[in-house]
Amino acid sequence: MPDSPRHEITDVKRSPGELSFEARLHGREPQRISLRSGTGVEPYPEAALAATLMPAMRGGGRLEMDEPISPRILRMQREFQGIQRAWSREWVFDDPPLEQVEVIAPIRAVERRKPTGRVAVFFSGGVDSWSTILGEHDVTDLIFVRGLDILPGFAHQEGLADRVEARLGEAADALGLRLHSVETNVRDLPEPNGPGQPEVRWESYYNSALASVALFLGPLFDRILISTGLAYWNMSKIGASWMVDSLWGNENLEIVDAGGLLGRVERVERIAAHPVVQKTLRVCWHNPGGSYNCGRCRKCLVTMATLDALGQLPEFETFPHALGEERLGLLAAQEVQEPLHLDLCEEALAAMRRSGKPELVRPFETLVANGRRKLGREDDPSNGELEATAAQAKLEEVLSSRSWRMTALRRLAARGRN
Amino acid sequence: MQHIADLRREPGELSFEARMADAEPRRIWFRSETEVVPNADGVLAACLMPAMRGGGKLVIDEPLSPRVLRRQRDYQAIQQAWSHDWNYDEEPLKEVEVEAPSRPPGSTAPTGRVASFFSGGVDSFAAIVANPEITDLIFVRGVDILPRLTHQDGLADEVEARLREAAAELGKPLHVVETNVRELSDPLIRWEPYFACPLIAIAHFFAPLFDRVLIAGDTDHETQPLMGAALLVDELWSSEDVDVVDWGGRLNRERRVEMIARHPVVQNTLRTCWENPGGAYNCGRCRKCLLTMISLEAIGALEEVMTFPPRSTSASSPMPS
Repeated sequence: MPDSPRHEITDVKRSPGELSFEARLHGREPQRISLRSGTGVEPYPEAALAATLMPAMRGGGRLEMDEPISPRILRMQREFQGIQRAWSREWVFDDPPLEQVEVIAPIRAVERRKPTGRVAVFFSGGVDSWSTILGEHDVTDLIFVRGLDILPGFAHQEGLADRVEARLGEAADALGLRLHSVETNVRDLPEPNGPGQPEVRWESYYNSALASVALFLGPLFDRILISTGLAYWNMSKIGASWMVDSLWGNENLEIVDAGGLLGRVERVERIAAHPVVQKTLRVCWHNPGGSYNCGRCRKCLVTMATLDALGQLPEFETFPHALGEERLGLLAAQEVQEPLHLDLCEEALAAMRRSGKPELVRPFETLVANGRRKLGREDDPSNGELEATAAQAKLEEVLSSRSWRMTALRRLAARGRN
Repeated sequence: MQHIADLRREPGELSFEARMADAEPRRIWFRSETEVVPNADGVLAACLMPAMRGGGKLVIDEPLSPRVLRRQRDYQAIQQAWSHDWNYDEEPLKEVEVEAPSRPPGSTAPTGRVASFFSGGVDSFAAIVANPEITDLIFVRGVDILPRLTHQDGLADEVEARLREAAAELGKPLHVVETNVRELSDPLIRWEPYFACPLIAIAHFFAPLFDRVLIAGDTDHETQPLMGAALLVDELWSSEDVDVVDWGGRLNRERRVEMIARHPVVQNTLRTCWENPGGAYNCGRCRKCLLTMISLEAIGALEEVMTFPPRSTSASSPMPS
């Protein structure tokens, strides 16, 4: 019987504004991982564990760390693993499930400190983080991370991180909040061979990276908020869902997955009229030619359409001021490949219908019908329109079903009526 | 409007009048011989889900933990989302606006004590065996054993006596709490999604004594339905003073039985039955008894567990559907 894999976190170096460590995973050459910030705070050492645990779970075995860590985190990482392992069996990717890792680490003495009164939110400039910032009135600080969604190795993103940071800095100043910038290469852990060949996919890992950064800056704050992408009523079992990241909180820092109370459209409604949002909103992950928002990908187009439905698109400096025929055609032709993306498009379709703008409804009907067909949720998408009989059958199915997906539709319809 | 009025906190007792929508006002109480002055946060835990049956506003005059007040919104949203999929023919839960003052966050020094709820069942025994840092046990009268059920007459006393012996052998103090909280919940909400709420209320009752209170769940992360205490949702009830922990999701039922089966205290105390015909400690004939007995038999441990009927009287019984 082969030995179970052995993983190590060694040579942990902590100094104000810097944490670095060597991670040796799956018997490979060690990787030097670092987190750096101009904010001179001495990081919590368990930041290294948060970054490394899920990549180690790709093979199971034992993970040893010589630096003492928080007793609470040493306890709760077992539950984090148990949940992620269970979820990984349902992920829509063709990857094998994650496996349990035995974590061996000494514990450090912990004293409860007095509250600092400071609350931080991760801030990318996107809809979710903006919604959290404007919805939580006790936020005092913002955190921008370089090296997660904007990667230094991508030629098409050359210079983008600097421009995004500059804009977010202006936004933070306008809001009277302090912006902390952190640079990291933690993404090398789940993607040792590059983003094209992930061992653990970004969709399931990103919240671990954010938890690691939260623990890096943690001594400054009572609470750090990670904005989740979905609402509880259509939440998937992946990423920052169901408050799973609260398991990474230690005795003095609460980590919160925020935002589950609102759907995507409600979040856009919350932020759309804010003048600082209108100068800063950033949703694009494609960034062709280093663009801030390309205005042509699914995420850009759905966001633009939602803003248009609210009558706010012309006010936004970070998007083209109108959709136009060409972009509406592009929107209708987008491919919806994952159930959660279809959920978001269906939610947007309901908003378009409420807006009374038929030119926005039509491309979403096509997009949703095609997505339903692709994902096996629709019977008759022959012309991109729902046939009356098929719609009636679907309605009856939805009304009588108790499955999560079907009742998600029902909830969506109920919210539309309200 | 729903209102929690006349809230009283005294050593060993918490009580209040619950004026819920569509229900008669009721005096609800939690009592213990342990003379701790209870924390009021548990009142919200006990009342929130019943209040969600009617929606609207829930007013509590007593100051509550800022953290609990913040996070109850997420707890509600999660339970509301899950309630759409409950397999009962009922309306989903409705969101409630909680109106309560916030108390200043304190920074209490850790007590070094960790408690676990203790019913004598597989799950709570597994929690005790797996977590040697547990210092105290809590037994609750009035949740699964109800004084109004004639077939359970005298059972609570017998169970308490056995659990006291077990706790003494384990060297851990047993705190007994009695409550009538089901008079509040039963008219409004089913026990299956609600069961953790009174336990959370009791965890807050004891908050001045403990750093952490463990609630042993009965399913593992891979099989649990999205209901009640799934996905560690009770963590949302942790306050600045006490951590509420849903324990056990990493272990399935078979693994838990394996962990505890050879423990001599378990062998004298194990209790799994909820049907209790004729006041039986374990009837040995219901689905839960039989499944546990089969699991014990599979690892050759059934004969050593003294709390089930002898094999000759139960092994040939057909399993109820």
